[in-house]
Amino acid sequence: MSETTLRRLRAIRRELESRVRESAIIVVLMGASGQGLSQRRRLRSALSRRGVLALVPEDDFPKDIAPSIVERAMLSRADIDLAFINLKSWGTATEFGQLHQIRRTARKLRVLVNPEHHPLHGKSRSYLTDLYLTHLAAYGHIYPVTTTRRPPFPSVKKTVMKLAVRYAQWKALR
Amino acid sequence: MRTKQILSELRMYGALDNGSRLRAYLALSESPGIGFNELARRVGLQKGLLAYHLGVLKAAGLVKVRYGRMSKETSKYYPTGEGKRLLEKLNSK
Repeated sequence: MSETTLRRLRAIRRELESRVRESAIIVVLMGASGQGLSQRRRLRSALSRRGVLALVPEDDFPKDIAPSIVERAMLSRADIDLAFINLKSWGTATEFGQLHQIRRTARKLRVLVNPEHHPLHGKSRSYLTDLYLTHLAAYGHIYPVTTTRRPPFPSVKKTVMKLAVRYAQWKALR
Repeated sequence: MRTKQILSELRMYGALDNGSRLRAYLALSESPGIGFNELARRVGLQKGLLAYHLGVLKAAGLVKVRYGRMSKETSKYYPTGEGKRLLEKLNSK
């Protein structure tokens, strides 16, 4: 039954995609807790209104399973399109270091960093900035973002929304 | 259908468009209130991956989760009204 259902589902999906010229995509929003989590929740709502399915791991994954196990499965074997990671805390920076090493995962990462730590825009000479430079050279997708609404760098919301929506449009045309 | 409505429908169809995820959704539709471990056993998925798929279904508004009152977190899964409507539409074509 599920094979037939899947065929019908895909036919409907293709028809809907052709009408809006966008593909249905799945993104995950990773980052720090506290204000970072509140921000990711608001972002999830904004993306949802725009038709993008966005996951916030702390809210959406079952508490029965350790988060690290779900994350590993999600990033190495699942069908997510993009993983946005906002690097603000040591925890997320450590996580980035691990994710960067898995090629399949690294290609999907879209990394948001403070401009001071961006390997091209900033002046930091830390180990992490050096790691960002390696990632940027190998995969691209390290974006400087600001929380102060001061140019020239965009906000987290603007960056994520633009990238996610454009990706959905690009995927529909492939 | 207006664009906003199409995007909303697309999000749900996109969420179901995965063999493993669809199997999980069909299984919990047949057995509302099924627990996580039982669902993993029934669809034959590793728990980490099943947790991800259930997260997608929840984020798409197709599934709701309730936690049991035990010392260990135990999640139980139910199709939402939207999820049931979508499945009926698929089965009627």
